[in-house]
Amino acid sequence: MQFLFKTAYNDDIRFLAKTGEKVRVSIVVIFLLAAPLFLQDYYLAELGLLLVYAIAGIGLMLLTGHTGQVSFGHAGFLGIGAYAHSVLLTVGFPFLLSILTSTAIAGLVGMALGRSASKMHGFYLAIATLAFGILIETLFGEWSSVTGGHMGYAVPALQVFGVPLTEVWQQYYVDLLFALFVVVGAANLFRSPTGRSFVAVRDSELSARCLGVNVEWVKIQSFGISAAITGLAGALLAHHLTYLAPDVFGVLESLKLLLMIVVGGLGTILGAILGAIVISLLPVGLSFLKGALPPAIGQTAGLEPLLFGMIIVLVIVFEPAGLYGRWMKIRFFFETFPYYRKSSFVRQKSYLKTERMR
Amino acid sequence: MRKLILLLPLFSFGCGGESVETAGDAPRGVTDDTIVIGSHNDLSGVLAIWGVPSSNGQRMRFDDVNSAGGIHGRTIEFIVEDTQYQMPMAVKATNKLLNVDDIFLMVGAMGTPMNIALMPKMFEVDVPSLFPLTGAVQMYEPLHPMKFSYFVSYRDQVRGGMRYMVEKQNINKVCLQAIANDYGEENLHGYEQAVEELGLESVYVGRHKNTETDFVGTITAIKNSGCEMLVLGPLVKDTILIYAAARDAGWNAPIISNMVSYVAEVASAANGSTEGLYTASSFYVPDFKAAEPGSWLANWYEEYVSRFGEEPAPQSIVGYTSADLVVRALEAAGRDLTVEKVLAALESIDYYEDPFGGPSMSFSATKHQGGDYLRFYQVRDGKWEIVESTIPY
Repeated sequence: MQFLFKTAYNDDIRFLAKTGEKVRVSIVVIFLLAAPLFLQDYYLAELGLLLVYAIAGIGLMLLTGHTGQVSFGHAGFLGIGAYAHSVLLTVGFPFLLSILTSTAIAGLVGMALGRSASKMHGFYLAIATLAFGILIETLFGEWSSVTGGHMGYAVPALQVFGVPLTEVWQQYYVDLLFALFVVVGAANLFRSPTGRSFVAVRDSELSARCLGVNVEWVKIQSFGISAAITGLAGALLAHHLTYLAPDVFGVLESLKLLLMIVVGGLGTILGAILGAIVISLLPVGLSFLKGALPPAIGQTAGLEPLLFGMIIVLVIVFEPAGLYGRWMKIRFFFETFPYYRKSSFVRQKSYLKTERMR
Repeated sequence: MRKLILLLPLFSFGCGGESVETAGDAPRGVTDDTIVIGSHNDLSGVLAIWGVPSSNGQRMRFDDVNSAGGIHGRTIEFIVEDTQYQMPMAVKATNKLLNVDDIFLMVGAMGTPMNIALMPKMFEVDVPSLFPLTGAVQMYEPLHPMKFSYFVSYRDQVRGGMRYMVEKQNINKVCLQAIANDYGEENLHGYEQAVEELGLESVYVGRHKNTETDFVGTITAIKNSGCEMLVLGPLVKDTILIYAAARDAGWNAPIISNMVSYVAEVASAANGSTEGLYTASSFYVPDFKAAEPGSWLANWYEEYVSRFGEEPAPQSIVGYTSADLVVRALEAAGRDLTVEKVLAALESIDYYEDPFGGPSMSFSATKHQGGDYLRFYQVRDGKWEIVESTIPY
């Protein structure tokens, strides 16, 4: 086991404290940077899509995992980002300006939703966000002068500073750039007062308020930042889809995002990324598995959702802390070998939650 | 290491970045003994009721070919990916089919937005889009050498049906009730065109969501508008609900729909509530139960049931017939397969009659939608009966 000796004030807020973490993160970043050298187009496109979903996952994680506000309508923000970006590109905005503007639009809509949702809890919040998701989907369908209605909207080709980036690896690097930016940005946020106040609101609103946190404003901020990040993911997703239709951003997509962060493990950035890996790679794996199975089983309709659902149920039943929790336990087992005890992960500190006092 | 080569121009200036790929002898997806055909379909999502029987029908035809020795010595490998009618899944599926499975043709892919989005990607690598499972007009317009549609478009089904009714009966004021999605919008376009072409007056246009179940208000509005014929652009359940609501309200003007309503579930709705509904469709579903034992139709029915454990749906027929067209084209293209030869063979198909007795199909260099005619049906005694077997569109 490694003990950390802090010798400077900055040690408290370093992104990666332990040597092991530094090594692991470097390996992943080098792998991602070098991926186009050895991956086929198909796998590279999948990896790009995975990064986009990881961004969206981090967006929702910020709200649900860190601030404790559940959202069943995040596909709406994904859609706002995608549509705004495509429409702005069509109008003639350059790529960077367009992606920033659409991120800002999604963020503002998120803050507006946050304003109305900041006093809601539990079921009421869930229903409000669900209604928002449905509302946005309907808006995409009916506002046909802007969004092309149900017939859909063609996304202009990816082009940065007049250089068309149509090859798969080029698009991949664009995704990677934004993904790294969002990961570092989110990690940075969580060591700032704003990020800490998010966690305080999640753990106990009453305690947070007693410590001088403006709970409503924190929630509005959280909704805004979360929506902006998800909107950014939506803008990138638009280039993967190349054609937008309202039902892409329906309730199912919202549930998928929520599922992603629950399976990954609530409350950590790594959890959002692990969740994105599961959600993106599981269908790919299943699709190849289907080819290997005998035709009588492999060609059965509905096999994928069945296996998909089973895996998710198993994860939730046997590892409620998500994949991140499992990873922590495995790591802890090796780091403290042979002193691993199950009770190490029983939570010691708990907060009194009084519904009446909210 | 193709990626490495593609990256090189970035680091070395001056060098030309030409592609190093050389044209092989055989096109992608074709080996000495196999032809790889791909498809993506909704096998477990909201439109699985369309997707499953259609891909079953296709598989049945391709398997028949394989058990009969294949086409010019090659067997067909048919790969279907499940998209659950979700766009991101369809993008993934198409990526896999194009880049990993190296398909030769895409046959019967599901969904209007999915096909519109993914066709450019397919055409980039010379994979034609054959007979997608949607009646959207974009499946063959604007004319493209690699786009072929099995169906007469929803737009033209609406136009054909309306023209037929207007010519038969003295109708001036028409109205439309369509579902609020891409399919409803297609219907709206057809309706608007027909209104203009035939000099009609449109008195009411309504949209509904697929979750709506109460149409009393809609029908009252239609009744009050003085409409003389209602055109429907709905799916299955709402067809029944709207029709029943209209007749319950004592409104007896003719109501016409299109091929999506042309399923047994609509005709056999409880208490004969859809009795009298008209529909224009570009295909035909025979009565398997009435087929003579031992005939081709009866054998086909038995084989289908024994293979898939369920009754064939209209979509099974669509799947089977579109696969049959592909098989014909592959046969005509000969042993030295190229995409161009297959496309030319498809364009040369003239007056093809499907084994189920549907309207004939012809293709040419300028006509890439199959159906020559529409067929007009009406629900009588809980069954679809033919009113007119060939109407133009």
